[in-house]
Amino acid sequence: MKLKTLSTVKITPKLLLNLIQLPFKKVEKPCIYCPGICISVCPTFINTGNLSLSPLGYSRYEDLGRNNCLKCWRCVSECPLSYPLPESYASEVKLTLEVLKKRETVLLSARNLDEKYSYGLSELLGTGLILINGLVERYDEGRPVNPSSLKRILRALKNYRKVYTISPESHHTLSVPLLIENLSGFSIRLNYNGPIHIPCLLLNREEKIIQALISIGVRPTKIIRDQCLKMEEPDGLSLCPRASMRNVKTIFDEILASLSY
Amino acid sequence: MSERSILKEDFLKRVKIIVGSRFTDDPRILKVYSRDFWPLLTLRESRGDELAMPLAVAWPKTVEEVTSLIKLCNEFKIPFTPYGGGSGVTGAAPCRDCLVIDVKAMNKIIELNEEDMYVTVESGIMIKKLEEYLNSKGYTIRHIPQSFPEAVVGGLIATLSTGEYSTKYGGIEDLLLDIEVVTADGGFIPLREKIVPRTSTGPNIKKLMLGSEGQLGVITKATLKIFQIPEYTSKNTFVFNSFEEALAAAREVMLLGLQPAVLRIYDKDEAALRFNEDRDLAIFIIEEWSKALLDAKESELRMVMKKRGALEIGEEYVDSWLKKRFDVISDVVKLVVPLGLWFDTIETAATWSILPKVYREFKREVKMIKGVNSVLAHASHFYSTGGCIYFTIVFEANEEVYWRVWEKAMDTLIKNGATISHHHGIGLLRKKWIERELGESLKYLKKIKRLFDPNNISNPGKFMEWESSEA
Repeated sequence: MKLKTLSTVKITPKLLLNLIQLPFKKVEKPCIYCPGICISVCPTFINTGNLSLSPLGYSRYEDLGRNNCLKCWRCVSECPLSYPLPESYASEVKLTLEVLKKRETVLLSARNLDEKYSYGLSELLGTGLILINGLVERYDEGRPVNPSSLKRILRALKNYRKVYTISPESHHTLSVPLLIENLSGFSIRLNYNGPIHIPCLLLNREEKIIQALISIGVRPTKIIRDQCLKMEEPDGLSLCPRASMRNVKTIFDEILASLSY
Repeated sequence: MSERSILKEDFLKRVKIIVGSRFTDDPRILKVYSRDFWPLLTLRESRGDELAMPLAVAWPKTVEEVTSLIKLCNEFKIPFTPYGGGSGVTGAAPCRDCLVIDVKAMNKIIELNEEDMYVTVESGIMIKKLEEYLNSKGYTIRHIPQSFPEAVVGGLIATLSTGEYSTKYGGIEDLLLDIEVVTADGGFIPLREKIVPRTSTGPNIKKLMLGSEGQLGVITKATLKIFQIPEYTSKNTFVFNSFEEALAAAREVMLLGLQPAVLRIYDKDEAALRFNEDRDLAIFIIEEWSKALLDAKESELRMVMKKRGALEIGEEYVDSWLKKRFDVISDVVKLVVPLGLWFDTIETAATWSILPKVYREFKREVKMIKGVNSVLAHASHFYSTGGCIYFTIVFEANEEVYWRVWEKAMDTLIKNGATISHHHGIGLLRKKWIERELGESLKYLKKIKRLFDPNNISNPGKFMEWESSEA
C-alpha cells in the first residue's frame, strides 16, 4: 500500500493490526465482489443472457462452472486481477512429457488435442516430436496444472534448440512459440484467401499471427475473433487443431497439403 | 401441498408454456439473481447471509412473450421484476418471490439510421456491445458509466444513468428519443411510427419510465441518439491549490461553453489513491469534430487555468484513468476486504453556490462517524448550474456502521440543499429518504404507479409503492 494512500486513512488499532497482516491475507474467491467486468466476453453468457452461465455463476457454483464453462480463458484477460476462474473447478493435473523423436528442433504435441496434425507435420518438416500429457484436462475439465510438473516440463524443453507447437493450449500453458508464427522459417508458402478465425487462447497474439501469415502468402479477408469453437463452428479458416473435431478446415490441413504437394 | 404452493406450481407451468426452455427455478441460478451490485448485498453474500430469492427467472425473446408473462403475473397476483445487467448499486432489481423477467435475450439492434442519427435497439442489449457495433460504423453513443462492461440499455434507462462523458453528451434522458414499454398492467405502448426531434403534444408518458426502476412495467425497446466519433481529442491534467479552487475553475469552463467531454476533479485524498498524487487535480478530455473548435477550446481552457493559477501537468493521469476506470474490484480485493473494511459510494449534485459547502460538510460529518476510516471525493458530470460530487467511503465491515454512514450522509446532503442521488437512483437503499427530497411529488408518483400497476406487482416494495391509506 502506498504511503500517500495510507495518509488518507484514519488508522485505528484494529486497522493497524490488519495492515501488518495484509501480506498474508488473500481473498480466495474474488468474483463475488465483482459486478461481472468480464461477462461481455463470456460466450455462454452472450449466447443466453443468463447471468449464472457466466463467471458470476461459475464462481459461485463449481458444478455450474465444471459443466457449462467453456474454459476459453477470455474472462481472465478481461479480469483486472487476472483471476484464473477456468482452472478452479477441479483438482490439479500433473503434466508429463514423452519424447517420441529426438532432434534439435522439436514439435510439441498435446495428447488428445493435436496428434492428428503434429505427427504428420513433424515428419514432413523433419522435426523431432514431443508429446505432452495432461493439457487437455486443464482446458476441458478446468483443472489447474501442478506447479512442480510444469517446472519439470519447462526445464526439459530447455534441452532443445527450438521448440514449436500447433496447439493454443500448449502455447498458453508452456509459452512455447507457435508454429504458425514461424512458418517462413520452414519455407512454407500458402495460397489461402478468406476469413481467418483466431482461437480464444491466441487473441492476444492476433496481430503477430496475422502478420506472420500474410508474410507466407495468406490473404485474410476478415478476422473472426468473437467465436469460440467449443460453442459453435467458426466461420473461416481455423488456427486451432481442435476445429478438426468439428470437421472444420484448419490451417494445418493447408500446411500439410502444401508440404505433401 | 398448500394452496399457495399449488398456485405457484400452476403459475410456473404457465410461464414454461410462454417461454419454453428459457425459464428456470434452479436455486443456484435464483441466488445469482437475488443480488445486484449494491455493496450491502455483496457484504451480506460474502458473509454467507441469505439474500431475497426470486421465484423463478424467465428470458423472453419477444415483446409478445413479455406481455404474456406480465398478464400472467396479473392473473395470479404474483410479482415480477425486470432485470438487466444487475450492475445497479441500490438494490433496485432484486425482488423476493418475484418472477425475474431478464431482458437480455432481447438484444438485437433493430435500426441504425445514419441520416437522422439514431439507433433503435431491444432493451436487453449490453451498452458495451451497442457501443462496439456503433464504433464499427464510425458512430458512438458515448454513454459510458463505470458499469459499462455489464450494464444493459433497459436498466440504464430505468435508473436514469449518466456516463463519464455526460458533461458533453448528456445523461440517458438527453439521449433517449423514444421507448417501447409493456406496462405493469399488461398494456403495450409502442414506439412512435416516426422519430421527431421535438414535439409539443402534451406530457410524454414514456418519459415516466426514466428512473422508474422497474416499477411501472418492462422497457422492451429504445431509440437513442448517436454521434459521429469525434476525430480530434485533447487530454490534460491541472493541479490546483484546493478542491474548491478546482470547482470554481470548472464553473468558469462550463460558463464559457467549453463543455469538455470529461472533466473529473479529484480531491487530494482520492488523488492519492488513484494516482499516488497528494494534490487536488482535474483531468480533462476535450473532443470535437473540428480541429479549429478543438484548438479554440484548448486555448481557452489554458487561459482559464492560467488565470486560476493551476499547474498544467499533461496526459499521464488521464491515460491512467482511461485504463483503470472500469476496475471496481482491485482495491476491494487487495485492500478493503483483507483489512476487514467495507465501502460504498454516495453521489450527489448541487448548484455552484453550495457545492463547496456540500463537499466540506459531507467530508467532515461522515469522517467523524465511529467506524469510518476514509472519505474520498471527486467531482464529475458538470452543468451550467453546478455539478456532481461522488464520495467513496471506507469503513469497518459491519451493517451498523453502514447505516450510520448513510443516515448521516443523506441528512447532510438534504440539509445543505443537495440531492440524495445524482445518478445511482433509489432502489431499496435510499427509499427511506425519498420523501424528504420529493415532498408532494412522491404522492403523485405513487398515484401514477397505482394507475400503471393496480395489482402492485411490478417490482413491489420499492419507492413508488403506495400504502392503502395513500390511495
